[in-house]
Amino acid sequence: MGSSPVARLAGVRVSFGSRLILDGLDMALAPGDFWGLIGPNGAGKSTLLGLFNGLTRYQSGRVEVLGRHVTPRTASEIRLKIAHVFQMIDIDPKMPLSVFDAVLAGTYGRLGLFRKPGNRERDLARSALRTVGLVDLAHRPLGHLSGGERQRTALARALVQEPDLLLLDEPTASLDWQAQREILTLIRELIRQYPLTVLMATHDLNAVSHIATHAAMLKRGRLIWQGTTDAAMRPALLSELYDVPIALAEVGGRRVALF
Amino acid sequence: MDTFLSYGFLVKALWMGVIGGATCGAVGVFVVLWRISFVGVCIAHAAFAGALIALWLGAPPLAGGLTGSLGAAAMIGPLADRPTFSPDTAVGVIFSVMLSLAMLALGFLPGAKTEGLGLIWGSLLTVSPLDLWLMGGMAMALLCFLWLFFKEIQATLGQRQAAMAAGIPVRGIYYASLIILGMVVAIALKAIGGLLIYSLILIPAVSALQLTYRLDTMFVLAAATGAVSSVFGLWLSFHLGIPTGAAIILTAAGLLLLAVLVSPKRATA
Repeated sequence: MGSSPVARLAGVRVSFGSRLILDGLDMALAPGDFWGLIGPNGAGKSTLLGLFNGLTRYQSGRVEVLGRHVTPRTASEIRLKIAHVFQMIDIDPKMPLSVFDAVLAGTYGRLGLFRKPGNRERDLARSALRTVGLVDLAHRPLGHLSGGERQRTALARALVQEPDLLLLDEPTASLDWQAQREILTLIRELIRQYPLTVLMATHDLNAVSHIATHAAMLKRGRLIWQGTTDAAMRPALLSELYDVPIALAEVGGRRVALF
Repeated sequence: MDTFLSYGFLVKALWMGVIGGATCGAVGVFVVLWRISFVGVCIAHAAFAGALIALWLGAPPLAGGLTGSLGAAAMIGPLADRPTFSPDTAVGVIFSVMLSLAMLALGFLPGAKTEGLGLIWGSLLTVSPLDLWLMGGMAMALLCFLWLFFKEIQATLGQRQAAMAAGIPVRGIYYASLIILGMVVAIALKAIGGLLIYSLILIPAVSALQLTYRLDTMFVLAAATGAVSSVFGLWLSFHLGIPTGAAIILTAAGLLLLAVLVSPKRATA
């Protein structure tokens, strides 16, 4: 933890109108960290992710990414260094957009206005599609893919941004077991290949114990606990976070959560 | 088409049909792909109300139409930008208010109300050279916008949040499109009529969506369908003596039916 953090929150407070959403947030993501952000529905996980790229405006405190203060003015520049993967659920099957073009669009922010994508950008997109295993589907319409394939497209789009920080917003939600497993395996593969710092919001405790190095617990807008994943996987802590009794079992050397 | 082209006013109408139809069709692609059809409806009827109110006040209808459509774009645009906003009821209210304002202005109009009634039904046959030049200018402006920002427009498709998070000026593109939509509506109003202008924006783009998986092709097809509908509708109207706006929209609807029938996307719908 000697090197300076990739991203940092200090005393951050967010409210929408009179409603307090996030309060007193302190957090530091060191290079190469993989953070799992867990907490009940409505705790503010997605809002917290948006702090780093300026999608969420904050009222007080300080947000820094790569040593730069994130403000509405600096956000558009900082966004080029951050990839944010959303769930791609609601895609019209008739949407006139191919998988390749959807991935290529990840390069457009860095490319800037008035410049057309060239060979470098196309090569990046092809190589990202190879990494996520979608080369054969590159020219399919995006709306024709399965949920898991769309999520892999979103990851490929994130990769072509060549980001320093990767924000994942529930990457396995609403996917079947096989697709969930494929996405997690893929994310694991990505962090081995690329020098990424990751923050993943998720409901999947087992995904956190499987791939994250650190865990942060968010409840009603406050970070109630953060530390290493090993230390986080304690029944008392998790039960308090979700207000339901959660047990842990050891299966094949892995700890899995049960409710 | 023998006698058709021998009338000078018909030639102007024909040009307006081609340029206006193509421009309306192309601008409809934004409405269809961003699913902001309610924004389009409100902008179209605000232009209509604005033009009639201007007429009543003795101001140029075009200025009133522009004020109405751009004002509506500025007011309603931000609503559609909210992820939680459900347009169903808002559109009903705004649409009704706009239409009532239009009817109110029409009621206050002194005299024979010919020009006012013309704004309801539209009349390609009264197109002036100025109207043609303005529409031509709008077509060029739209073409430039598409050429310069095509990749940004493409990046926002179905992944607006992701585009915004990746540093693409999504809001700028969105509001620029709304402004272009508002101006196209205001300029085409006199030719197509307040009640049907929105149909000429929506229907060709819906037809185009049935036929292609490429965004550039979709813009071309929507423009072509808009132009063909206008020209064929005008021809029908001339030969059968039926209202031009109605003939154009029914032609567009017929083309949509055809597009749905031959669509390669039918199986996936």
